[in-house]
Amino acid sequence: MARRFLQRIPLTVKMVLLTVVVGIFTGAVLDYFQTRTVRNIFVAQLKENLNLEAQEARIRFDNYIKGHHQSVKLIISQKQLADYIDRKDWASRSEVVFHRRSPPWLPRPSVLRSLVQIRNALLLDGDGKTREVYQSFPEPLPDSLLAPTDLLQRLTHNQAFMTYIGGEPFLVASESLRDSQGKFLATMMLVCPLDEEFLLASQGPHYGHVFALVTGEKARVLISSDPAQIPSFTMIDDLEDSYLVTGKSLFDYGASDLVLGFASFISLEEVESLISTVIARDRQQRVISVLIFIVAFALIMFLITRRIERLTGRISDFSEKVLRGKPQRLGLGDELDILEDRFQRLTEEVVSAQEIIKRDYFFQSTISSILKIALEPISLDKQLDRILEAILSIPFLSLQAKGSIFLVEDEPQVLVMKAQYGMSRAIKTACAKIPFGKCLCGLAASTHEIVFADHVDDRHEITCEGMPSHGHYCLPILLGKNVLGALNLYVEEGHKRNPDEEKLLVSVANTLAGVIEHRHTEQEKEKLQEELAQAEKLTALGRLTANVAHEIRNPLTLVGGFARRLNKKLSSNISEKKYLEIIISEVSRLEKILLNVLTYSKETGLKLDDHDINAIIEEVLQMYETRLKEKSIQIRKSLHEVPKIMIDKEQIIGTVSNLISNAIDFMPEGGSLTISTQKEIRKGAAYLNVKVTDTGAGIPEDKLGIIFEPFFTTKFLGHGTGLGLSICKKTVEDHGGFITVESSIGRGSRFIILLPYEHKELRSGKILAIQKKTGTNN
Amino acid sequence: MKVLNNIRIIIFLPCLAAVFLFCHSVMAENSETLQGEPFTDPSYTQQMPSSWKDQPIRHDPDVGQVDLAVTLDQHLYRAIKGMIENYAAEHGLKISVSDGTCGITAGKLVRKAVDVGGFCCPPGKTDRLPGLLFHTIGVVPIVLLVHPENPIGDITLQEARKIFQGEMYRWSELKNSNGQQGPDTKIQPIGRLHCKIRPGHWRLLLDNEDLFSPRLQEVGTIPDMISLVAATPGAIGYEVMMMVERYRSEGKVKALKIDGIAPNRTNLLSRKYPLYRTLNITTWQGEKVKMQHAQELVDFLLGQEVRLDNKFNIIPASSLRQMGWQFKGNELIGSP
Repeated sequence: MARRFLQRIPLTVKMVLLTVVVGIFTGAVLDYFQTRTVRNIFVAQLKENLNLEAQEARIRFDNYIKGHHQSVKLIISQKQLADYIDRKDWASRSEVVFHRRSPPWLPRPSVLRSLVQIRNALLLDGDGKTREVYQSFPEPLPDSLLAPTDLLQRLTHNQAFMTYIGGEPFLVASESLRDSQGKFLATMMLVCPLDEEFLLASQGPHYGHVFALVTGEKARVLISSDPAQIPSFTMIDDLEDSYLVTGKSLFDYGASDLVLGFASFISLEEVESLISTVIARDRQQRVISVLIFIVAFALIMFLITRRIERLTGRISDFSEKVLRGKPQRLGLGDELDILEDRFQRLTEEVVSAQEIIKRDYFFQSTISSILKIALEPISLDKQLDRILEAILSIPFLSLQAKGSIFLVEDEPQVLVMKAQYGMSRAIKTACAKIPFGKCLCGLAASTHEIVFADHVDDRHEITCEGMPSHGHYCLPILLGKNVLGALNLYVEEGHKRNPDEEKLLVSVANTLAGVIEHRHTEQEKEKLQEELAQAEKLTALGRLTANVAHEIRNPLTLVGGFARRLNKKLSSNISEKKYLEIIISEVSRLEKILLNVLTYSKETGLKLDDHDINAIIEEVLQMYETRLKEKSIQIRKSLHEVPKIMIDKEQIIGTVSNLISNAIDFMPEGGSLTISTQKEIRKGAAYLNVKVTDTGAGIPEDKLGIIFEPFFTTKFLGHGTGLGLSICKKTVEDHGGFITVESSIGRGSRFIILLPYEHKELRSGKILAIQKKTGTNN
Repeated sequence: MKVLNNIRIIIFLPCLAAVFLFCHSVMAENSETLQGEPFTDPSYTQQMPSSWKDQPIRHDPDVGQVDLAVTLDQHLYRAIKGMIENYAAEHGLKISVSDGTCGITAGKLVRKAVDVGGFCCPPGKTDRLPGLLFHTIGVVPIVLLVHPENPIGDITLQEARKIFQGEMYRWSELKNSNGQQGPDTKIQPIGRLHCKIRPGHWRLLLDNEDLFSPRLQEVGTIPDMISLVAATPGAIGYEVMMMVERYRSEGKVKALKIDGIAPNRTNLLSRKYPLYRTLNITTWQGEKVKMQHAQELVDFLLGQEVRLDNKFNIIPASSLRQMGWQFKGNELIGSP
């Protein structure tokens, strides 16, 4: 519950909360350590500073000590003192004279103030006996000072000497005045007790810390600048609980028989107060830093979150647009959870797409194999065997290695097994032929639908003993609405029907249909080629026929000639004459056939000359006048004036004659025959247009394309050779012209001849070329 | 004309010689005047009251119950404290060894508070107390120190004296032995004028404090000397090398040669190097003050001179004797 709640909190809020918690924890830990560190650093720095201060204080103290020595040297050298000594007679008085005011043997007070503070100045005579004493402040002096020993005088001579006198520490500096022979006249001795006043005087009024002279093997306070706080004889070790003690340096004086050191003290309470102030300020700055950090972090997290959302959006777009993924609802959780979820789904989609691509690859590979097999020069049965193997080897289809391909052959509505793999002999036999509607394959063929069975159910009509359990995909092989066959594939029992598999198998079946259809087309092509070969054989036969006709024409002419001569010589009453007339008639018919055959099969030479086409037409019509009348065919002529044309008159007569003869044959019940001539310009060339139109039965449309083919005829056997129109076409084309036909069933036909008449040279050139080709000459 | 020139030369040369001899004598006189006495008369004894003479040795209360109380100046404290502690351990003695100065040692000896005292100077007259015997442990060179970036590495003793007297003001007035001129920086002489009543030490440079320049910056302690020289580019001071090493943390300084002579033991032993410090220890002689343990300890220390660590740069007394340094008993009283 808590986890769900946490997941739903936006990342920015979560990170801010985390930052605050971690910040507080880290801050507390760091505060602890940093406070300690700051304290240590501060104390060390404070100590170092105090040490420096203490060092400076000690140097000031040192200079103050030396100042006594220099002061006494200065005083002893003044003429005022020498004059005083010179006129002074101390022998008359035995007691020591004490001065409260500045005596005449000392410089004036204004000068004295510039020197060290002179507490006690002793003036000794030449024998070392104290005669006069000046005290700036009345204080008792030890008797041993008033009567200094020889050693003390020597030790203090020419240096400021610190020593215990009468149990108290004193600084003593002395200097002597001698006469020209070196005899001592007097000695000036400055004596100062080493007390609080001395210490303060050595440092001036502004030194802020308590300081002290320390002494002894175990350091103890000899004198302090504030005896109320730090009294004399206090052990330094005892003070270290309450004070920060620094600068415990040993004086390096040869001019002292005291073990002296100098120390500064600062109250730990004061130090703590300082440290607390510093730490409080530091802590305040840290808190401000942390707050700035949190705000900055929150801002950064906000920006990162925005980027994450944008990235999630891009992934979704990519998924939907490129990978064709389904739009998904955003899941619960923060931005990172959503991104993770989206990424997870993207991964799955990529894997899925990869599977699809892989499947497509195998599918395309299989289709390619099938097509490749289809192009191989092997029989359809072998092709189907190999195609079936290729189908069964598609790796991602959950197929058993078992299946068959059926085709519909000559027997309609019956599937004939043409290829199989892995099937038992019994099943092969049982499934050799399956009528439409029977068993699963027949059902598929009859319904044009895929039939799926996840087990052997009632639809599985063909079974055999010991048949293992299995399922089926049975697909019709369709070409349009035609069923070409069926594809039968085995699957494991319990296999789930898979639309993707079905889609793929349908594609395979369609490809198979294409292959089969291709194979059928190939077969038809082969058939046409056979027919063409046959036609070529016929052409050869035609030539042979022409040769034969040519060979039999001469004997036939002889037979006909002799028969006619014989017929003329035999009287009409001879009964055998009737047989002779039959011979003559049949010979004539044979000659006519032979003439047509020869005309068509041989390139006859053109006998060109200028002729009037209208005259030729008239001449032909005269030839057919009788037949026309017999057939009640009305002649209509529309012969326009046309120029003469260079033609082979006999052949053109034959052509026109052939067309008129055919028209008569097509109008057995009579009709109208129209012949017209006129000039015509077609594609820049001038032609004579000759039209022969009848009102006969007409030519069926499907025959219009072949009527000019040789041996094509619609007449009864024995009434035509089928070469008439072929010869017409050949003749017109030999003249450089064209012949076409227009016809309508029941309304008649119209033959149009176009003969070129201008560009004589060109036409002559063409004709010459024909003559050369045919070996004739005009 | 030629004759005239010869006459001129004849007159000029003797004059030049006279001037040279005069200058030399003045300089020699100056040099002798400037240098203080290296030792005091060993026959002198400080007069003390008879009560003092009758006074036995009484250790200070701080020391506690010990067999021997020893106070040493800071040089000897570093050099021989370890040997004393070893000796105490080996002989089952309880010996207190305290750090101090010549003045502190002298004060404790005057009070008869210690059995053995240690000085870094030859005894002054006031130190020659009745019944007190001095034993020289050795001598150690005093080195002139300058700022580490100062290119000058070599000066003459005369130049050193002039510098400390305040008669030379800038380092550019000096040249190295290789002819390199010093920087145009003000010379700041720094002095630690300790033990004024004792001979030797800095007084071998200039006899008394009044010979030093008024510009002399006086310091009271050895660390002050080291740190000030290290911090002042134009500074010149003096100290023994063992203390320079000890207070290395105070700053880096550079040692100068004097007259081209490095301040090492060999040069000092042959007396080519002029400045040194004498390290002495004392024992008492007399009915009421003689302490057998103290004498044995001092004998031991004098026999251990070969163990004086090289880092202290101390030339032991035996080497000094071999090189003709003068002794009276165990006390060094004169150089060759």
